[in-house]
Amino acid sequence: MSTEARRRLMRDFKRLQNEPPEGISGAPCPDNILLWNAVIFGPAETPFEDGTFKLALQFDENYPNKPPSVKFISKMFHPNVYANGELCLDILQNRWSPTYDVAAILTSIQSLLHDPNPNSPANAEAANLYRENRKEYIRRVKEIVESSWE
Amino acid sequence: MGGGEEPSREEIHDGSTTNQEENTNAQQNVESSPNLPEKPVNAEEDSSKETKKILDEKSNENTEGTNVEQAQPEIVDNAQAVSAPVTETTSVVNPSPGPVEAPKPEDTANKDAAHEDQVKFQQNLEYEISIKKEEAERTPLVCISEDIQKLYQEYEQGSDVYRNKIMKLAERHNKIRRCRGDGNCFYRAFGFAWFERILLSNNLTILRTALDSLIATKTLLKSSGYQPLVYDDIYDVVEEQMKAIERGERDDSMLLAIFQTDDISNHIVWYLRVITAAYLKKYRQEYEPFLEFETEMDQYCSKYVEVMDQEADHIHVIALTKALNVPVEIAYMSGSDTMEQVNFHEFYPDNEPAGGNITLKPLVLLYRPGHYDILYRKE
Repeated sequence: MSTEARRRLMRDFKRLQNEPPEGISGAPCPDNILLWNAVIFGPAETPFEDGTFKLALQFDENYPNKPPSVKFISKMFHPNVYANGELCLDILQNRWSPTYDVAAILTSIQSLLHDPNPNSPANAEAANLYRENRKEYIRRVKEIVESSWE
Repeated sequence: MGGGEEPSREEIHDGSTTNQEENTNAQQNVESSPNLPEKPVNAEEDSSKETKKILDEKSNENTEGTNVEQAQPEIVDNAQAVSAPVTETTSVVNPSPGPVEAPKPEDTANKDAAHEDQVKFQQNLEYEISIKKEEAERTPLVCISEDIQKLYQEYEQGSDVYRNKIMKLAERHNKIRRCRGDGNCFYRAFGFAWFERILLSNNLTILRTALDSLIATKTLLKSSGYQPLVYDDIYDVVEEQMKAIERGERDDSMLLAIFQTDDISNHIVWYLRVITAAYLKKYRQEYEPFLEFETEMDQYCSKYVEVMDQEADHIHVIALTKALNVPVEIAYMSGSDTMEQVNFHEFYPDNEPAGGNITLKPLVLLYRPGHYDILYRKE
């Protein structure tokens, strides 16, 4: 594995420890620096409040020239998250650049939670409810918030 | 810089692989132009234009090669990625409904049908993109220099306007060096021409001045808010190449080989991108008025400057030449027949460091709508 990716991931980790963004934590697996576990706390004053959502980030040796693949491990109900937990987010695809580190990736996902984009849905049901029946959307989100505690 | 002046495909098609890329790039350029009026985001409207835009969007994504295998294909396949909320307000600026940005809310009646259409559409696009990608990759990142007659031959079946302009150009320029049309051509052409100029000058003052300018960019990046962790490693690669010239370990063929090597070449391109972005951020008050209404410079940079394969615009050229103190002249050659001459635009830095860049002759680039190559002036 390229030492460049490894070194960069160690530096990402240090920064995440020294200047942790609010409501975010993450760390590489002890035996595999390319695989990270992270937790995003649901942002306050959103339906996701109080949720503790687990994610897995899989890097490869092309990092930071290529983005990691990121997915929610916790159950998620969100217009831009697929049923398998994968995300539909531009910076993880065609707007990736090496200026993003792990802290920035997780912060972007946290913002996505309270700022979904129902017009390019990964979960059509969530997108429709978000648009047309906000009350039911909130109820469904609260369900996954509760299940995130298990 | 407009795609309006782009020559038609037939006009410039002569079997040379670069032509197709020019078209692609011309459209990329249109798309990334900050000065474009906002367009309706409705997918049904103007679908042919949108097609091209999405295509370009996707081909950007794909030109990097390994990207596809590595980003999960399911994601790429069936949906449009959402703009990250951090960059969300810029999504209004970008007119295409491609993977990137959020279409405006529209009435939901035709939503599902429209979505299915989009999926089919997407599949066709991906096929086209793979063909375009193959074509682009036939051109090396930076090519061997060629006689300017080759450029003329490219238009033999095509437009008089171009041929006449090339004749004029050939009076003072004898060679052209092509760069791959992958959206990075400005940065790569600039980078190669700069390194080559330093190498061939064989002048220690020029080299030291360039090295000082390069070292100073670290301060610029930091003051513009970049974390050293994101650029340190890449900076080291670029500096090492400059120092290798100083140590006398580079000749012109070695330099070409380095710029043809994906890793090093793309590191240099990306570092030039981030210098450009840092400069634009530092002087945001000066440059923000050139952006689309209400676009914020940080968001603009994260979408159009820091990201590989995104075309460079006028302000990017200004920013990079000023940040590195490197004078550049760009020959603008369009199919417009109102001018017989090829127009040269001069981008000179504000302050030439004493005794330094005064002797660095300007780099000369050739711009055809959407694409940059390197030109060589007769000695």
